Amino acid sequence: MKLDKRERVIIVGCGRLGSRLATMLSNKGYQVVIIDNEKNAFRKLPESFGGFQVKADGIDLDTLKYVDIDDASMLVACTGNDNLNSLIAQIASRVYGVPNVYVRFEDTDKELLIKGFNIQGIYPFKLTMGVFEESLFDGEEEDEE
Amino acid sequence: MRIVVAGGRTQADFLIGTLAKKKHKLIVINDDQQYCEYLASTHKIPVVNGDPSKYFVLKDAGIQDFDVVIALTHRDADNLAICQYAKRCFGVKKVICTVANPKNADLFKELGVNTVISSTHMVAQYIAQATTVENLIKTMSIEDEKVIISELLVEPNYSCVGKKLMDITLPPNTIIGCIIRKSSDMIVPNGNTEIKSGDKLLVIASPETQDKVVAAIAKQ
Repeated sequence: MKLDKRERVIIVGCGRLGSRLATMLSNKGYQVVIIDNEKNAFRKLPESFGGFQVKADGIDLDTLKYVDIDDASMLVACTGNDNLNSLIAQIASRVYGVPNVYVRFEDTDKELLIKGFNIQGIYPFKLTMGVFEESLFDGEEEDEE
Repeated sequence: MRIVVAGGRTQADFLIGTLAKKKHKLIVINDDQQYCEYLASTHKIPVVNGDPSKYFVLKDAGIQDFDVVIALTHRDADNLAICQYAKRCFGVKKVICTVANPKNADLFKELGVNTVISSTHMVAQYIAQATTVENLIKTMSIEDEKVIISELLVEPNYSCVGKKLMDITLPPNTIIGCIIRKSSDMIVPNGNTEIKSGDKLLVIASPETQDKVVAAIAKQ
């Protein structure tokens, strides 16, 4: 996926992933809006961060309207709660038709909730297992037999 | 019917009691172990301890092809996850949930929940209606607020006292459907019925005409 630099990215959840991703995209010149309901969460952003910080509830529809979600090109749902992430991603993709929606799930079963929609799931568990498979079995598929 | 009640505390307890009396087959899922023990011993029904917004908990609870799932947790997002799992993965026909944030009611319907109940919205609506006129004793709305039924007490100084219904001009789309009088149980009035002081009138109106009909009857 290639985004135009003028296009807007919304990140919900300013944890380790959200803050680093926001910083990276902002440094590369994208318009970034990061939302978190915890004011202290924004301390993870560097002084030089050039995007917008919005302290609000990311699942509140008014918050998402306030950050012009219908006009965004990309949204990343990476709060610490899988069900919140699922809800935010579905609002973005299914209600507002945001073209690129990413969601992080700790619980891989949550994939069932977004299956069939235009939402890309990210699963730290699968990525970690991938590392073990890669390093122990040279990337071969796990052999169950 | 086969019904799953997921999450919730007092609401769940009350609802389970009501549903169990009507001989529905129930499964209760709650993440609070002590509360599960309480529910199991009070209602004598199967209770599963676990987070109902997790796939494996729902799977272990055996909710496949149940008729109804009711999600009552205090987190809106959890309720949506429960309803969506039930519908998408377990073939449940009807999913119902409560929401804390009234703005989520329409949203959740759009995302596939059949019925969304917002107690905040209902209470606010009830209070707003109850405070419109002091003589409005009770009001209730049905059909998603398209119809409002109000109970109105007739004071001795109202100009309608002693008049027949056909001599009282009411706004369009409104009707006095029933009169409750102390001397008799209830009267379904016709044009010749006379209104007396102390009557309670059940007035059927739309939200737009409710104020007007109340003003017309309460004229002094």
